[in-house]
Amino acid sequence: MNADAPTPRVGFAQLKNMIGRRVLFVGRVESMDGGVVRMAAPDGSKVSIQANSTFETPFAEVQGTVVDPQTIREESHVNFGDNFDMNTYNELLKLVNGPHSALFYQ
Amino acid sequence: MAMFDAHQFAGGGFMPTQQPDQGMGASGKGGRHNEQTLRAVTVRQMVTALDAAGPDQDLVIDGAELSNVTLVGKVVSAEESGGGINLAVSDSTGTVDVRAYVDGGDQQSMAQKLAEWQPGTYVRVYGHVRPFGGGRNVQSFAVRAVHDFNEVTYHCLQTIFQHIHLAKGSPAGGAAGAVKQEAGFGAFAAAGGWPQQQQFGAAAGAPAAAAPPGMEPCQAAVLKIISDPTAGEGGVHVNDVCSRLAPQGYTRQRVEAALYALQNEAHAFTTSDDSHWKGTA
Repeated sequence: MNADAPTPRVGFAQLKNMIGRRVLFVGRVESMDGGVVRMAAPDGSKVSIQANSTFETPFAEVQGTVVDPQTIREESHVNFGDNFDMNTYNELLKLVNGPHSALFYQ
Repeated sequence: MAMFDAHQFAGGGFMPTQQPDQGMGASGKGGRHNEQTLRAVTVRQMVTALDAAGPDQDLVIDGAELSNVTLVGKVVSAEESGGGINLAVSDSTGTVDVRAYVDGGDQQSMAQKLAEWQPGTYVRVYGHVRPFGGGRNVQSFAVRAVHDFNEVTYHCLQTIFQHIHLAKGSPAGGAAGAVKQEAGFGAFAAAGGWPQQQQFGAAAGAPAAAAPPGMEPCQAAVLKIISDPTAGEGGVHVNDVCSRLAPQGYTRQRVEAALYALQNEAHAFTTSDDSHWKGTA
């Protein structure tokens, strides 16, 4: 059991502070163009994924490294299906990265 | 104390069950009621508790002894070992080893579980935290693949909710870790207990604007304004709250602090943006 290498759940708002770090990012796939997947973040902002695999469902959770405030380099992803409540998840992100971060990451 | 009747928590199950024969049954250490609780946790919470406890001590989170836990995470590795499967599960806060027994233990059911729990699969684990090889692992009662990923959101929210319920509303919360659970719980109730419960009670028979007793005056004043039913669905802008409370000498800083405190205690929420607030009552 260890908590030495967390991969924080982040939304668009956190990306700018996480450059170079591994994160978990859930988004909705908007378009796929070669190796770049354009996703909508839970708050509606646009994020580009430098993908190394094919995204098969509308929602997906990407694990990867933050390249810049709008870009994540994919390590792997989990298909999150076609029924995922982004509004609730967005509210969760505010709690996880705000008042209750001690339970999760710091 | 009626508000703490065990049946209120039957759906959650993370609070200790009040057993009628508690006095007689409390022979031996701990008391068996703790065996019946189920806590939603993160790996980080368990690691923090582990660091605080000695190698043979019970793990304590938010003053409550930990026995049965549930967590949701992604399988990192899965391998067959001695009639079961050893899983490493990551919940984004950390990684935990999970021992899963496989019914029957024959090659066919083993292969089926290994196929179901491939690395990258999200699973819900129910289990018991046990000492294992110098550290601790989770001996699972059940592991199942997650198909609706709202369960990931739900588990995180449930973890936060249970943490607040056990730790936050209690002035005695900080000391509760050192005392028996009933004692910490009793102090919690004696000190005014769970503001939300009181508010729900008030909401049933009284106007929504009634603030829970014991609330800090600035918070109560803020809650009254944002709970005004004439404000409509959009809520009240923080600037309006400030200007209405300025005559009472409350600074913007205090109003904002009160709003966030109310939000943390689930008395208030933001509506169309982070500046518009509404009471939950």
